[in-house]
Amino acid sequence: MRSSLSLSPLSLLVVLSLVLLPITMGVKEEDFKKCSQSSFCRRLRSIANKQESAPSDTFTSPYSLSSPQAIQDGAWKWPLRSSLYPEIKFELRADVLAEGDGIIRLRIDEIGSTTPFKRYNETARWALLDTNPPLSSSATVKTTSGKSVISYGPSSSKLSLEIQHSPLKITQLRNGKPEIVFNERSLFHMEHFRIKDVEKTEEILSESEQVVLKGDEQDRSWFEESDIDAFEETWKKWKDSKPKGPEGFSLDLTFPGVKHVYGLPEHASPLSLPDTSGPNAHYSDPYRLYNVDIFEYLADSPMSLYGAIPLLHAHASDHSVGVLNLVASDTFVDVRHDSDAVRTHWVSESGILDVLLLPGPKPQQLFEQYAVLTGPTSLPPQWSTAYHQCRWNYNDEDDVLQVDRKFDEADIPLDVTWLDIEYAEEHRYFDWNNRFFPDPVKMIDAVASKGRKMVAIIDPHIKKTDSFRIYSDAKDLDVLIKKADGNNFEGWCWTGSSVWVDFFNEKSWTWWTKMFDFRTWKDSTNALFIWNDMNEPSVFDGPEISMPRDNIHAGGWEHRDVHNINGMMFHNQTAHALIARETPAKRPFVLSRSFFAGSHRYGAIWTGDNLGDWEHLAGETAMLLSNNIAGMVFSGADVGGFFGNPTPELLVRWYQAGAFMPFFRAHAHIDTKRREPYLFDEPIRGYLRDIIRLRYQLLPVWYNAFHDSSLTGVPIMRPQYAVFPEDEQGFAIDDQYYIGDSGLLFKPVVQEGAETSQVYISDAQPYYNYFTHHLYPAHAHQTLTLSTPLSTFPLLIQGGSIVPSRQRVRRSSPLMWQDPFTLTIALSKEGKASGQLYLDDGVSYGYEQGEYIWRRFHFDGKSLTSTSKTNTAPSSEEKGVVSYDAENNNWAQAVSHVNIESITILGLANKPKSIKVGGQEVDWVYENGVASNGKKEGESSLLKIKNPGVGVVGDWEITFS
Amino acid sequence: MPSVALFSLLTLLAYSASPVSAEQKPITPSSIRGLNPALYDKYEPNPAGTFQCLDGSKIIKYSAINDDYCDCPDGSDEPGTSACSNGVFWCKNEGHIPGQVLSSRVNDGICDPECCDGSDEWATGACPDKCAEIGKKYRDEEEAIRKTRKTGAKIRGTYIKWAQGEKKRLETEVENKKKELREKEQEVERARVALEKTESKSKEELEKKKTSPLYQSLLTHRLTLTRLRSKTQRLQDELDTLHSILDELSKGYNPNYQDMAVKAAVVGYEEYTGKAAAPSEEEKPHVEENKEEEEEIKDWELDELERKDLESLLWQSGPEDDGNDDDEEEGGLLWKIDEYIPDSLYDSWESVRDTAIEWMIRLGLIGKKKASKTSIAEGPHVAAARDKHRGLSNELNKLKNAVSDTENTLEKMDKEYGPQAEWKKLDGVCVDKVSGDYTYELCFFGKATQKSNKDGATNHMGTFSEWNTAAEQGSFEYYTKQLYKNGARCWNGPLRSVSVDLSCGTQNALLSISEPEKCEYRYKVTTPALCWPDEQDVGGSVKSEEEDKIKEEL
Repeated sequence: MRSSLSLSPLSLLVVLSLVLLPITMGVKEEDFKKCSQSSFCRRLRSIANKQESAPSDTFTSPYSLSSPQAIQDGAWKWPLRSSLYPEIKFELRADVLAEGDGIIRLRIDEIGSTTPFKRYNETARWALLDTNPPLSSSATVKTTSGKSVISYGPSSSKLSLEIQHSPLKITQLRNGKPEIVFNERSLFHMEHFRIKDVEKTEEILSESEQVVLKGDEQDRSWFEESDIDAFEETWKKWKDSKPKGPEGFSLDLTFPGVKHVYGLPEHASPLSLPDTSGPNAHYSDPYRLYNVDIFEYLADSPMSLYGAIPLLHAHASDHSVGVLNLVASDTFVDVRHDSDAVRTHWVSESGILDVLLLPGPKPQQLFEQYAVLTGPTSLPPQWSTAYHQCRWNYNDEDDVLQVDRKFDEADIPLDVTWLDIEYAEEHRYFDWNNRFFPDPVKMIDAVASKGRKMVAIIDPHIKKTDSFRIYSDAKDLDVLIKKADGNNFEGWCWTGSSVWVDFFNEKSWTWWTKMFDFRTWKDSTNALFIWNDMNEPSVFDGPEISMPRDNIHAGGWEHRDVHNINGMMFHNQTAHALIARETPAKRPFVLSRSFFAGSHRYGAIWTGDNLGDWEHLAGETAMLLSNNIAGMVFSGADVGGFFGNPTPELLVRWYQAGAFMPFFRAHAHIDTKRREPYLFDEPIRGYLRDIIRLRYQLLPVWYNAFHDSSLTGVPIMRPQYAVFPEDEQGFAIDDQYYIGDSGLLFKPVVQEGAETSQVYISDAQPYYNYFTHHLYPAHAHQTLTLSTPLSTFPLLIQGGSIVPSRQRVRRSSPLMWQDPFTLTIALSKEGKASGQLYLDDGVSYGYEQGEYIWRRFHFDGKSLTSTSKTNTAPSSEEKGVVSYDAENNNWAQAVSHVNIESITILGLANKPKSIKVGGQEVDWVYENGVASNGKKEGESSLLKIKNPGVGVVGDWEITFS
Repeated sequence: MPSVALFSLLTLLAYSASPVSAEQKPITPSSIRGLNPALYDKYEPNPAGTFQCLDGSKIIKYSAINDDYCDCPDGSDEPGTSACSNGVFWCKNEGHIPGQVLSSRVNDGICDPECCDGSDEWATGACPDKCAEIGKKYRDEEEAIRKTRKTGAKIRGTYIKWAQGEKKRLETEVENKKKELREKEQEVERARVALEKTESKSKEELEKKKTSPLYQSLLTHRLTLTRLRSKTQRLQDELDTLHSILDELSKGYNPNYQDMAVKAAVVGYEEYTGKAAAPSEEEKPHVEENKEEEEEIKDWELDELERKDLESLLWQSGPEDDGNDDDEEEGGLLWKIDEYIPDSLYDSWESVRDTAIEWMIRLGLIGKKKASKTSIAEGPHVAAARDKHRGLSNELNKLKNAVSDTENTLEKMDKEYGPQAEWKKLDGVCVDKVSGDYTYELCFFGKATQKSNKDGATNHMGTFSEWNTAAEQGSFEYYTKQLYKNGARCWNGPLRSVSVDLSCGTQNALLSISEPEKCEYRYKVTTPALCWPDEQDVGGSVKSEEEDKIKEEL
């Protein structure tokens, strides 16, 4: 490649001196905008400053409503005016949704603009399951003395929405108590469309600070800031033409009686979001939601990362509420904790205001309500919950097969081997580099012969070479993202000069699906799955390493309007292409880096290019918990850290953490030393092997959790506040979590040299060390100290849980499908326990036709039973899985021979006299120890039943006397 | 999983009829599934009907052997099932050699080559007995390997023979050289005595001639010249360093990185050196050669000027005496010492001397009469005598070096070059292979290089450093690996290095190159030097056909 770049001797000198200087690591913060470097954020964030510095009660919203009109059942609209611009018309619309216990949707848009411009109003189309969810027919509105009150929600909870007409203020109340207040601080503002006034801009330029007002113009400076960049903005070397001028909006949401807010992923920040404004500001800049490719991101920062979910939970011990702000443009959110409430201020660059208020009243309902809106997690192929081995790059076929073989030799299970960008000829994804991969199908078949899979990367940048079919097709089809001038946009990425497909353009969809058809992509098989990286999108020579905001997408929308959805569109289309390539369809697996509200319907994401240091290891837990409460449950982090060479100790700790992430993949940068687990000497290799094997043993637990999430949207990694919403002591904890409803409580060790770890216990139940069966007696709000040398880590079973596992670990998880199960029963202080087991073929959509088994295990002290479990989730009707034939469906028959080989009961107070199945005594042993109902700490009593002769299919009972 | 699903459905009946009860209760060890015959005595039934786990940790019911439940912590009760995570399944493999697989491979539906009889898949029935076929293939391969080793061993025998001859030759050489050395020492001593005599005679005469202003001026010029040259050299060194950094950058940088600054630097550098502007293949080296020639002539002239014996010129121009005794011979002694320095050490001496002069001038030592008085002036007779002495001394040193080199080589032939010095034959032998855009070359005990097939640019990959130090010296393992270290540095990476995996082959050949980590290469090389003979083959005579092959090879 020869470049046309020219270089002055001076810059050569500068480069020379750089080469000779030691290289410093870390993010180039200056590559990304701070609020103060963004015109809309400067303009709109300043409203909060004006409000704060104004004498109390003198700062009143210029916005007011007229009387409402009913649109249809459950929907009303109010004309909305601003005293600043009386001639401009806005409209407020409030909907009460039929599902989700009373979700309110508020929308505000400018109407009847004299300009040709329109605000982007399609975020809901891509984020929500149903762009226009059905509305409640039972909600009522009463308008009296400047106030409209909507009463709604299920009869059990009295919800109301008070809409104060002037000044505009909207309050959501439960049982008369305000829980969400919109515009409490009068920060709502929607910039109306206007045609650029050249004269005035120059005036602002010359006057710089003071705007001279002329004629009939009123003084708006008490509220609205003028900004010379409102109509055109230059940042570094990039000019943003902003043809529609200023079109931002600002809103404030106050959560009375709340001390914690969670959400707004993705940030490398604590789960309970610290302040960004006010006297206790932890960060000086707001949380930013603008998907970017960020190199070596900071471990504690409100800077935006690869994904954005504009969802916030506000939580107190007596209630929880949530807010989903459906906006896809650049968004900054300030958070401030006051003594009476948490106050938030949201500013966005463009789009309509489309906000959903989730009523709660507990985190559990928030998860379900979010799933009603955006859909629950898609049930992933079961193998994708097992171990993934990645590296940039496995160089050739021999390399891939050697990695595969070495795992076998070291007896370490492996399900998926990954190929990063170097597999592709000149980074022309789909096209294998024939020199290194002369026969990819043969290679994939060899890997697949042991039940394994492969994943290859397909990035969104497309090499601009006419000989490349993907490029020529996309160009001919005219589905490329355009520049402001209408020509195809070109930028620089791994491929060199590249173009990007506009997946907002429906014409691209069938074409993209065809690209994955086995007849089109002959060098692929059904064991090859896909990794969509760089889809923020990453453009190396673009502003903020991304795309110019005035680029044009389908429908004439600007990139600024859709930016945060861009990655999800790509993810979505790739997932659909994989579903379409086989009949009957199999579940797709596509890993994406960028994500938005709704991405959980399409596959997994990971936390991007982290660093192999302790700080980043420690930070991952909070990031992943934040993803999990925002629906993006299938998340993980690069195990080992992408950059750098972790010490063996750090690597072991990282594997321990990774084995408890929903997505478990080791990955490493091309400049790092190889660190596949088999490369290490004992004892490190043994530790790594044991951790990975433990993941395989607990795969049933993970699959249960994925299944639950696929029904109701509940998180897989559950933070303390979600499990114990009334225990205030746990609200700020974000370094330990529960796995689904399994009762397993895990905490990664993230300190170098840590010999002990402390785990907080909220509830008054005994907890059992998973490895040693050490029993900690029931005591609410206690902190346990566990010995955690490098070989181990805190993994506790909550009393009252039955944990299913498969102790026989095979080379890959699909090979385990006929292997027997083990049940570990950790008794509650009442001597009881229950648990579940969900199983299906792991790859097809047969489960949608009732081809699965779902068992409930229950132990009441006298008997242990297995009964079929049915779906009672609120959203189950649509999924059509309410009833299934528990014993005679195809899958149940296929696994009818699969047994429970071993049952362990921990914490029994007394040795039973007899244990019988169907009147026959079974083989069992009992060891004395501490009981679950006592106050003593120590090794628990242990009852072990050998081969009781009961299966995973069918009801059974084991009696104890 | 389609194939897995298919066979398992077919064999479901057999499996679901509970493997435990379907199996006959074992009565004799030989009927225990998956048990290695070598362990039969440990599995003899006893009257108590019990079995002790092999690690002694537990006594269980004999009937619990292979009951598909793991009782023994060491897995010894379940040789035939997948119940224990740490057991092994032994396969008889009739028609082939017996093998074993980990318990986790039992009934997993995968046909493992270690169990070609498919006996580990007793419940799934997924794997037919292929031992006859696999066994034949295995034996054929073994035979081929044996043949290769046999042939290779014979070639290796010739290496050993050659090394023995070489050793003898070197030993004789050392003896002869040592004899020569003793004679030379005597000669040097005679020359030294003669030189001393001549020196004392000519001393006085010279003193007079050294006082001319011309001579003084010459000395000053020479000093300035020396300082200029040393400054130029320093600048040249700095320039070379920068060039090599930028060369490395432009050759090694990854164009796929997003770093536009690096890209700009590379393009700028290439323009600066004319690489980008003049891409013609021939132009570039020509320019460089010309430059080098020019510089070499200059250097040579300057060297001549600097090293010219000014005092001997005084002798040529005849005695001239203007009687000024105060004139100085700055640094004269230091210049004169040149004459005494052996050629082999001259280069390093030169820089020491230059530094010394610089310091002496700074400290004001040069310029004082005392310094000049210590200088030795001499006439042409002395020069002749000194030349003779110096010439003889150099010869002596060369001899000494040669002796020690040879002794060194002889010592290496005891260890470094293999147990029978067979590798000595390969010292300096090179193998190469074209792979992708590069030709990789490895010279045994020398250097590994990577040469671009496009522009001929060569990268140094490493210099021989060591054998497989993880193994004991002299063991076979020790000679299966060589490490070539400290090659050229990679852009943004480590120094290049090559790990060479050696194996027996009838030819010295480089089979494959890989780069598992950035700039850490792995070569696979075959060589007859590693074909250690089978015991049965030792002492076998070389058949004529093979002899021809060997000759060809050599």
